[in-house]
This record gives sequence, structure tokens and C-alpha cells, in this order.
Amino acid sequence: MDMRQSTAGTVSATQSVPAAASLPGSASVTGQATAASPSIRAASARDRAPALAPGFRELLRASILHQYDRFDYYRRLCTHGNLARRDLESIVTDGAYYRLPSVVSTAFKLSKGLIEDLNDLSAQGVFQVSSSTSGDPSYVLTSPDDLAAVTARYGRTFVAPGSTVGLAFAPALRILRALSRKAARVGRKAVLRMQLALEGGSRKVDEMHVTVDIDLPGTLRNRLLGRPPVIDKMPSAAVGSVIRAAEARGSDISLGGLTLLLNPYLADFRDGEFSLHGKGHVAFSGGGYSGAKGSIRGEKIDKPAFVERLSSVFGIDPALRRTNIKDVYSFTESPAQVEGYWEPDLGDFLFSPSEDCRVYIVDPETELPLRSGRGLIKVVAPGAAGCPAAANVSVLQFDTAEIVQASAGGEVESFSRIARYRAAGVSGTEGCAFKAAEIAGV
Amino acid sequence: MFKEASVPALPSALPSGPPSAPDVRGAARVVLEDPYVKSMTSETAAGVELRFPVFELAPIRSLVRLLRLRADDVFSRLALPEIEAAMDRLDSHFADLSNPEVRAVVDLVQRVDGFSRHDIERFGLGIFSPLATYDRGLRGRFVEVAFRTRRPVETVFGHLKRFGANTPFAKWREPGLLTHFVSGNVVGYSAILARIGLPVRRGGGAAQIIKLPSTSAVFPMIYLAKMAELAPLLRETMACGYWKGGDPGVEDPVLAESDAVNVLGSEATIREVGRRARDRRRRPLPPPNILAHGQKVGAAYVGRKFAEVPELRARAIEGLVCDISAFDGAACYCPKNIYVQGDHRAFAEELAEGLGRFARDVSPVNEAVRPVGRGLERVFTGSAKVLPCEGGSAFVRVSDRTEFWLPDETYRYVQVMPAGNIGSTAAVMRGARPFLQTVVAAVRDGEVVEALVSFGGAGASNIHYPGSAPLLNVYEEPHDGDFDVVKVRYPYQARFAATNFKRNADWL
Repeated sequence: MDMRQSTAGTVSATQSVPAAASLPGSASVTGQATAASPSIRAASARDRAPALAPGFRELLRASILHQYDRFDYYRRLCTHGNLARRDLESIVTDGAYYRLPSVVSTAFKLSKGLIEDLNDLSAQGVFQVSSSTSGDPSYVLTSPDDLAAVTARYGRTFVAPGSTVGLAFAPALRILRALSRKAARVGRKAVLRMQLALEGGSRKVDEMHVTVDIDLPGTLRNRLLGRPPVIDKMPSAAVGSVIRAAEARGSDISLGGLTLLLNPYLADFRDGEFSLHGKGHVAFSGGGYSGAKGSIRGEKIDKPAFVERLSSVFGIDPALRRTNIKDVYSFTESPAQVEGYWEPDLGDFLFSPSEDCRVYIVDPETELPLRSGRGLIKVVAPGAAGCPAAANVSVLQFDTAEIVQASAGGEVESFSRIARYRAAGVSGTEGCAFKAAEIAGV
Repeated sequence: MFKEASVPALPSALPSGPPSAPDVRGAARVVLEDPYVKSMTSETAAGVELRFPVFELAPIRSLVRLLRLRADDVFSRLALPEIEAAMDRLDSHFADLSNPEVRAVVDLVQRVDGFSRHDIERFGLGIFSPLATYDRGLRGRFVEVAFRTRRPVETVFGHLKRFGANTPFAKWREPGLLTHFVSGNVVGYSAILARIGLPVRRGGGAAQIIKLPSTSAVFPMIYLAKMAELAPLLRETMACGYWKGGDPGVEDPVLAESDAVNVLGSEATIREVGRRARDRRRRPLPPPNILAHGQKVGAAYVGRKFAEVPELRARAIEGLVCDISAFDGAACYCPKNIYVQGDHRAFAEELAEGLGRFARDVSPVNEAVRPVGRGLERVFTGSAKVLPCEGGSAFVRVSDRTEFWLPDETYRYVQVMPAGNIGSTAAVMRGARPFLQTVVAAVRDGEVVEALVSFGGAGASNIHYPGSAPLLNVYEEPHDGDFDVVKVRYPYQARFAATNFKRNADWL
């Protein structure tokens, strides 16, 4: 199962700018979603960042050609689209990245049986695994360079600059590491994507607290009886203590993790319980707004009401919601992490791709980029060193989003209203046949 | 017709009597009524407005009381031969595809659910053909014999075998109320569930509540509407309609009153319904007898002769194509794992061609499930291990490793693998025992009983010849290893498997 991480942080001002001037059409067009809200125009990260070698284009060229050379699967995909190696080079040179054939994210799922086709098992690396509890996770081999880059990037997105305290509404590292160990496959170690997020965040703060951990005595007792581990959930009072301590010290605190794990705590606190103001930073991940994320179940979350409540409980002024409350869209099958800050005029998060990836919203059938409206999300993101260990440079994800701003060439500068692509899993025939994902855990 | 069979003309206990069958020929509005469930809801599908009965909280307890009283009354007055004669007429009606009324039903189901006409005719309503003409004197006889012996018992169409021992503690207990939780909209078996509660040789007969899985599952209601015409008193022993699964307002009182519960659905649904049905806070002892029918996977075994002799290979593939494609692979009997003795790659290629042709010429893919095919096409375009069929209508995975593959999508989507002999292949299947359903077997005459013993021992329920995977004969074959009509009264521990052929001349 794919995983969308929500992480907090900032965009580095030192990262590269692609040779955007060579893209076909540099003028921005405003999508229908915001036609009535001209004030909504996210300053794209690319607008803000100065150039740095090697540029996006060079990394992408190296990555996509490496992928073409290494993976029969990708070569067949290109052949199906009448594209040869030299065509890929031309596409990169022209900046028409949307023309790069995409591997669909679901191809990485264990059930599809394509692990050896999509991962270069001769390369160094470990499997990144989606934190799926459906029984059908994605396996993406990740080189040491890419692993370090993804982890470091999570550190920047999860933890706001200046934060010395982190509070993660997430399972503890020892739980994630244990799950990672169990996920090893074909003799390769594995690491859950969520573990990278927490490790990245932990490295950036002096103290990191987590709300879900193992009750060691209970777990040991249960182990003797052959029963499952006992999970220990941090009490609301302890959560309050962590925040109050940071508040008392005048420290910046970054709160993040899974919305479904945070949401129940909000009911235990009063409006104005804390007064963090600009020192509180909230970043969430993993979706779950529908009330379900893997095996975690909770109430359906209404985003505007949720943000309003976050704001009032933590004492984050309404004016700061655009800078201090965000969601991050990412998934295991791509190294990209797209941050989205709360946009009151949209009543949703406004996502702006950073300089290390390109996002297109494409027509679900033709896969051509749209200039406005809603479509599937296609992400083009090169490996950190130009030689990815998996065929994941250009990935089509079965999520939809609405364009807020796109260039004439179709590159999306900002988007919103992410949702699952329903047509992918809708069946008109409801039968009695077994489908692996439906009986997970049996 | 029912009254002509010398049944005393009982006045209906219901104010309006059972509803008559709706005329569905070209209708833009079809009203499907139930004598007990008065609330209705509408749904429009493919331009047809469907009105369905919906169970509601307020009248549920009085409904159950009335239904039980009426069932007791009806079953005390009707003799078994009369009930059987009436049900045979009902089966004969749906078996006659030349009847304009039946053709109209096929047309309606095709429009509403999008299934191919071929599947509805051959596997949906056609499931009744062998039942309508089945010798009444033999009904139940083979099952009784199989309870007494471990040896395969020869039946009219094949062989039946028991696996495992019976508990001496099982007691025969006739349920007063049997509730069915039906799932899916695949036409066929869901409709004849209503037979399970009807009286058997020992007498009895239960009031039955049938929960529709959704308002788009039209066939069960059409079947019951025809029953209201041909067997009106029997129809009055059943209440059928929709409620939202898990709705405690309706479900809890129904479960508290039920002596037996028949659940078809996902493992989660079965667990949840079972847990609530056994909840002692809601009901006095004894707990209800629960029949559980979870989601399953079919398989196929192709022996060397059928893989290598061109004419036999063509016939095996012709049959498999039908079985794989039935209801777009969404039924539990559809084979997903195809084990081939011999050149499995060549077989896979021929199978892929056959599936593509079949979808183009005979049984097109339901438009509603096309996105599933499109999704698979996107995943496998770059793979050399998967053979896509014409227009993404089916997919054949080829593996050199013999394993039991658990499909990730319900579609015309299978995996072809090399096979050893029947015994070694059965050993592979045994690993998926809880999910194994039908095994389609193309084997030599001398291996048919061996296939029953080995695949049945591995957990399969029905061993069928190619092209007949969906054709379940309830009089001599189990469903998910059980004879529901017996198990609902007598919770035995053993399980059964049966073949639907004795030799290849039966189908070749």
C-alpha cells in the first residue's frame, strides 16, 4: 500500500533551479480551482531557490538514462510508447518531462510480482517499504545516497528551523525498526518509509518524543504467552507536559506525524490550552483524513475544522496557519516530498513542488498533462546521485489532485484537494472471489 | 399451478398476499416487493428505476414474529413432495431460456449489472438446469451415504467424498428462523439460498430472512417474485430486502432471533456477524448455528495429455477460457492458478489468445470493471512475465515457479505455472487450504477419482471439468466443502468434495 507522509519543515534556499527558461512556455496559468481566488498563488520553491550544480536537468538525464539501461521493464515501457534512448535524452533537453513514460506506483506492490523487474538487485541499497498494513506493501530498492537524501529531506520537512523539541504522533523508532526487520526480502534489509521520516526528524532536534511505544513489561509477559505486543499510548497529560516544557523554555516545537493519532488528543485539551504562537509548527502526513489509515481507525477528519482546532488548542494565530501548519504529500515509490501549507481561501492545503521534483496533473486515460482541473498525479524526481536502484524516476500515482497553478507546459506549480483515484479500484461486479488485500491479517 | 398439486388453498396471513412477479420486459421501472417488508427505496441503474424493500428498525420484531408463525403454519400443511414439485417448476421456469419472460430477466440483469449475456445465460440462470430435472428420489441420498463412508461415493454426475471425521456431539436441530447475509451480485447461487431452509426428509422447515447485499443485486428478488407465482405459500415463509450491513438497529434483533445464520462475504464480515450472533447479552442459549462462506480462489490442473495433444488442449483451453472469464473473474469458482504439466509457456500463450478472442466475440468485459483492466495494463505493459490479452480484456501471468498465487485483483487474470503430478500439485494447493474452492481438472479418465481424493484433500470443494466451474449441483456437490441444507440443522465437523464428471466422455 502506498504511503503518503506529511512532514514539516522548510525549503532549503540553496538547492538547485532547473533550466526553467528552456521549458516550453514559462508563463503561469491559473487553474479553474482558484479562478475565483486570485490571491492564492504559492511562491514555488523553484522561484525562491538559486541555481546549484548539478542541476535538476542533469540529474534527471543521468537518472532516466541509467533507468533505461538497467531495467528491461522500463525499456519495454518506452518501446510501447515508441521512445528510444535518444528520445529520452531529447525529452530531458527540451524540458518536456511529462513525456517521460511513468511506472505506475502500484507496480511496486508485492502482489504484482515485479520486485525483480523494478529493482536493480545488483546495486547496493535497502528496500524502502511502505508502512502498509494491508498486507501488500510496495518495495523500492534505494541506494545509500538516495536513502540519505530522503532521510535528510524528511528532517528538513518535519522539523522547522530553530526547533529544538519534536513531538511525533507516530510509533516509536523501536517499533518501526522491528517492523522494518520483518519486512526484509530476497536477502535485502528493508526500512519503512515512516522510519526514515522519524529518523530524519529526530536528527534535527535535541529531544524527540513519540506518542506510541511498546509497553515492555506487558510485551514480555505476552510474548511468553504467545500473544501480541502491548502498545503504550502517551497520556494526554504527558503530551501536555512536553508542550508546556517547551513553551516554558521558549523553545520552538515541531509537532507532526499521523493525523489519526493526533486527532483524539485534541478532544482532551481546551481552546487556548497552549500559547505557542510562532514557536509552534505543525506538520502532518499519511493522509487518514477519511478516518482510516492502514489498521488505524478514527473519526473522519474535516480539514478546516481540524486546522481550526489545532490552531486554537496550540495557540497558533490564524495569520500563522499559512506558514506554520502544513501537510506533506509523498509516497514510498518516489523520493519526492511535496509540502503544502494551509490555505484558508481553499479550505485545504496548497501544495508546491520543490526544486528537486516536477509534478504534473495528468488526464487519467491519456496521461497528458492538464492545465486546469483534476487528474492523476505524476511525479518526476531523479535519484540523488543520478543512479537510482529502482525504476522510480517517473511515477504515476493513483491519487488525484486539483490544479491551482500550472505553467503553459503543464508543470504544476501548486495543487490541492488530493484524493484517491476511485476508478482504480471500483468494480461493477461484486463477487465472492478472493482478493489479497481484502483479507489481510487472516 | 401450486394449488393444482392438491395443496390445500391456505388463505394468506398477510393483508395483501405475496406480491406477483413484475413484468421486466423493457421496463423503465421495476418494482420488487416483499410481503413483509413494506418500506421501499429506489435506485436507478442503466436507466432502470429499481424499487426494493428495505428493512427498518421499528417493525422488525413484529415482522419476525409474523414470519415465524406463517412459516410454521405453511410447513405444517405442505408435504415434501408438493414442495419439491413446486420448486422444480420454479427451476424449470428459469432453465428455459427460450421463454420470453426469462429472456427479459437476462436482459434486465445485463442492463443493471453489466455482466455479459453469455455469462448470465450459461452460468447465472443456467445453474438451475441440472437441478430442475434431478431425480427427486436421489436428493440427499448420496450425502447420507458419504456420511457413512470415507470411500468416494458414485453420484449421478460424478463422485462425492467425505474428508475428516464427524463429531459425535453434533445434534440435529431444526432452526425456526434462518437468516442469510448474501454478498455480491454474481447471479446464481445467491438466489437458491432460499432452498436451505425448506423442509427436508425429516420434515421441519424454517422461516427465512434474506438480506440483500445491495440494491443492485436484482436476481434474488426476481427469483422470489416468480416463487410468489409458482409457490406462493413457500414465498410467504421468507422475507427479503436490504439493510445496510452492520446496522445494529436491524441486525441485532434479527441475529438475536435467528437459530441459524448463513453468512457469505469477506472474512471481516463473517467474523463480525458471527461475533454479534453469539453475543449472549443479546440472546438466550443455545447460540445460533453459523454457516460461513468466505471469499475463495479457484484453480485448474491440466494433465500432460491435455497440455500436449492439440485437440484436447484446444478443448481444455476453450473450457478454461469460459471459467476464467465468468463474471469477469469475480466469482470464487473462477480459476486463478493454472497448473500445467508440460510446456506451460506455450499453454499460457494459447490461453491468452483464447481469452482475448472470447472477450471480443462472446463475452465482453463488463464496462464497470474496465478500469481494473486498465490498471493492470499500466502495471504490466513493461513486464515480460505477463501476457496481456486483446484490449486489456484479460491477463495471463507466467511463472516458472509452482506456487499458490493469491490474486491482487478480481478480473480475468490468472497465473500459469508448471505442474508435477496430481499429488505434488495438490500439496502446493494445500498451503492455501482456507481459500481454495473449485479445481478445474483436465486429466485422464483413470485420474478423475485421484483428482477428487488429492485436490479434495488439499481443501478444494468442487472438482469440475473445463467449462463447468460455475455449475454447482446442490444435490450432490458441497458448497465450500459443506452441504448447507444439512449443516444448518446438524453442525457436523467433516467436509466434502465432489466431481461433476466421471470420465472425459461426459464433457468432450
